[in-house]
Amino acid sequence: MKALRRALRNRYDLYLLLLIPLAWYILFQYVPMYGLQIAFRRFNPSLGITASPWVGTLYFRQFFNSYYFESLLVNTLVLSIYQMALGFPIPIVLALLINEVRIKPLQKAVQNITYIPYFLSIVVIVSMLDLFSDPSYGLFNKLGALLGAAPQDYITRAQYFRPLYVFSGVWQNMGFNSVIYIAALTAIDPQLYEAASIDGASRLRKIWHISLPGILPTIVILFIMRIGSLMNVGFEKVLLMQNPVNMTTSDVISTFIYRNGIQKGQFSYSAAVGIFNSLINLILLVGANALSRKVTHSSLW
Amino acid sequence: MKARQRLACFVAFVLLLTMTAFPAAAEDATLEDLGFHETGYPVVDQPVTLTVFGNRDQNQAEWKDVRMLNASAEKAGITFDWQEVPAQGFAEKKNLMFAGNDLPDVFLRCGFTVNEIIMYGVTSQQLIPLNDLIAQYAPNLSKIYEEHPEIRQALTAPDGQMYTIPHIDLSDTGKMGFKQWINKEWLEAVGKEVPTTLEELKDVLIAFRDGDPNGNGQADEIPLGIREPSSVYVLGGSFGLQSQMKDTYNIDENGQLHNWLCDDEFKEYLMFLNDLYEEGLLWVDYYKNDRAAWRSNLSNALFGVMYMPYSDVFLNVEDQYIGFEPLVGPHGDQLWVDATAGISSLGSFAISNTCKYPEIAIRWVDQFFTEEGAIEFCYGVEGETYYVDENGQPRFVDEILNAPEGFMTAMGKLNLVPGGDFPRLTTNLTDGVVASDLTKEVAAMLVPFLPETVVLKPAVSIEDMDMVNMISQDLTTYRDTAVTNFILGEWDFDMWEEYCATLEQIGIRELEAIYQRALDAAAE
Repeated sequence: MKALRRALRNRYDLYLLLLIPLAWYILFQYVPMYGLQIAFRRFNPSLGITASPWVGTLYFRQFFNSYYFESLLVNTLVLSIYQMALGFPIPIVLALLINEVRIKPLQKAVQNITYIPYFLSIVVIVSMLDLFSDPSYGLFNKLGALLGAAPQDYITRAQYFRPLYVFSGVWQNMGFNSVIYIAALTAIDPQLYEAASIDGASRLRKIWHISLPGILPTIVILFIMRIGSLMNVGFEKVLLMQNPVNMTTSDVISTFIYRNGIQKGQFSYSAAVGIFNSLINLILLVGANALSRKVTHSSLW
Repeated sequence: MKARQRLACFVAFVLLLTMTAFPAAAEDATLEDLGFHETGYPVVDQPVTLTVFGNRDQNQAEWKDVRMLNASAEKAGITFDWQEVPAQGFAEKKNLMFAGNDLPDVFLRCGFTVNEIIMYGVTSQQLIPLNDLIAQYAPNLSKIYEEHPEIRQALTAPDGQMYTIPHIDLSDTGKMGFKQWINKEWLEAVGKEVPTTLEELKDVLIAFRDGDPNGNGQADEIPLGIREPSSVYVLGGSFGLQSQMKDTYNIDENGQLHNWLCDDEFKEYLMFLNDLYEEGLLWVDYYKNDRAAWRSNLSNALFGVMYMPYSDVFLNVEDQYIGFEPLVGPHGDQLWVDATAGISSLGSFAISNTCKYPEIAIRWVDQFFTEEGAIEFCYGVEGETYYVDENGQPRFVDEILNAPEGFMTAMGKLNLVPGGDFPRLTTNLTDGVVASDLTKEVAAMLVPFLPETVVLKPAVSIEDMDMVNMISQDLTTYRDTAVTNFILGEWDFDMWEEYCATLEQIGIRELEAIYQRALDAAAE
C-alpha cells in the first residue's frame, strides 16, 4: 500500500495518462453493460431500459427450446474450431519458413506477398469466392474439371461452406498473423543458433530446439486470446456467404442475433442469446487459461 | 493577468456559441395559433415543419426534389423535413430508431408489418392510434373504409385501433401480386401453342431450352424465371395450394385455416419444381436473391415464362410477352393464388407519439385517397406531364415515358410510386401509372381464377405475440432452407417425413391455431 502511494506520488504524471484509457473502458465497455438487463425484461422502447416489465428467464427458455438452438451451437463451435485448427498453426509454420529464408530480398518479398490479401475487404473476398464458384467459368470448377469433377456452385452448397470459409480465411490472414511470430523470432539470441551449428545441429533440429521454444510464450498467449473469442466467428463474412441452401451449416449465433434482433426488432430475445454466447466464451477463456497455467506455466493472469 | 482575460473571453465565446446552437424551446403553438382548417386547403396558415422518416427506393429521387411530393406539402401549407434512408439497411435503421425511442413525426413508406404494428403500436404506443383522427379529419379515407369494411378490419389491431394507413389498391391489376407472362416470339420460333396444363408447360420449356428461340446461336435462354425463394409458391394454384394471408395457408368454406407445408400436394409441387430445376428449365440462380441479375435478364428478354407484378422494369421488351390463364394441375386444379384483398401494403403511413400535430399530418395524407388526388400525385400537371386520353385515362407524356434515364427514374423525380408502399388510393383509373395496357390485359386473364375469399394475416393478441414471433422466425428459416434444398435436389425426397416432423416440432400447428383464433375473433 505504502509502495503504491509512493509510486503514485513519484510518477503521478504517468498515472494521469493512464486515466484516459481507463475512462474509455469504464465509459464504453462497462457502463453500457447495464443494458444487458433487457434480456430479462420485455423491452418496450417507450418505457426505456429500466422501466420495462421483468419477464425472468423467458427469453433464455425460448432460445433453449428453439428448434435451432442445437444446430446454431454446433455450427458456431464447429466453424470456430475448424478455423482455429487451421488458422492458428499455419501462420506459425509460415513464420518459421520465412525466418529460414536466408536471402534477405527474397524473404521480404515472400513476407509482403503473403500479407497483402489481409488488406482486401471481406466483401471483395466473398465476391471472389462467388466468382470462383461459378459453374461455367469459375476457377474452382476449371480446376475441378482437370481432376474430372462435375461443375458445382461450391459457395451455395452446405457441405462446402466450412472449407471455403476457413481456407479463404487462412489465405487472407496467414501472412498478417505471422508478422508477430516473425518479430518474436528476430528477438532470439543468434548465439544460440551459432552454438547449435557448432554442435552439428541440422536446420530442423535448430527450428525444433531453438526457434519454437523461443516463440512459445507468444504462441501460448495468442492461443488463449483466440480461445476467448472462439464463439465470435467473423459475422460479416458468414452473413455475406449465407443463402437458403447452405443455411444448415452457415447459420451461426451471431447471424441469428442479427436476423432476429436487428432486422425483426426482437431486442430482448437477441440480448438473451448474446448473453448466452458471451457466457460460453467466458467459460472457455477461463478454462484455457487455467489449463495453460498448469501445463506451460504461462497465462494471461 | 492577460492569460486570465483571454480565458474569460474564450469562455464567454463558447457560452455564446452554445446559446445560439440550442435556442430556448419556443412555446408549442396550438392548432388555432397555426390557423388550422378542418376542411379545404391550405391545411394551416402559419408555417409548420414535420419530420418524415422513410425508405427511399433506388428509382426515387431525393425526396426534397420529388416534385409532386413537395407540391402536396406546399398545397397543405406544411414544410417537411425529409429524412429518407436508402432501401439497403432500412429495416435495421427503422428498428434501431424505435429501440432508441428517437422518433420522427411521420413514417412514410416504412412497410410496417402486422407484427411491428403490435410491437410499436399496441404494446409500446410509439405509433399513435388513428381511428378518431381518421373519423374526424380524413373524410376520403373514411369513405373508402365504409365502402370496404374488410380493409378496415384487416388494418385493425386486437385493441380495436388502426395504427397505419395503407396503400389501397382496388384496381384489377392490384387484386393480385404476381402475374404470369410468356414470350410469344419464342413460342412462334419453336412452333408451340400457349400451354394450358403443367405437362404442356414443361414441354414448351424444353423447346425453349433446346430450340434457341431468340436465334442468337447461344444457349442463353432461361426457360422459366422465378424471382426469389419466397416466390416459388406462385404456381401453387395448379396444385390447389393457396396463398391465404400471403403465406402458405388454405382456407375452406367454413373459415378453417390450414398450413399446407406438409401436404402431399405440396410435395408433388416441389417434385415438379425439382424436375424443372434438374432439367435446367428453372433459372439456376433463382435462390440467390440477385435482383440486379434478375432485372438484367428481364430487360434482355432472356426468360421464356416468368412471374412479375408489373412490366415496368421490362417495358423495352414488353411487346414480346403475353399473358395466359393459370395452368391446370395434375388433379384438375386451376387457380391464381397470389391475391391481395385490396391492400397493396399495410403500413405505408403512421404517426409517432412525439408528433405535435397529428391532425395536420392526417389531413395531408387524406388528399391521396381520392381519384383526383391520386392522379395529381402520380401523374403531375395536366398538359405538362400527362394528358387524358379518349377513354378518360390519364397518360404520361412521351418525355417521361421514353425518358433517356429510364421511365422509372423519370417517374421517381415526379412522385414516390416506384417501389410502391405509398399511402394512396389506386383504382382502374389510376393503376396505369405502373401498369401498362398489356399488364392490365395480363391481369384481366387471371382475375376469374382468383380465390373467392381472400384473408389477410390477422393481428394476434398480445399474449400470443411472443409465441408467434418465436415459431414464425424458426419456421420461415427452416421452410426457406428446406424448400430450396428440395428444389435444387440437394435433399432427397426420402427426407420428406423428417421435414414434416421438424415442421411439427417447430410448431407449425400451434401457429395455425393462433391465427385461427385471431381470425375467428376478428370475424365476430
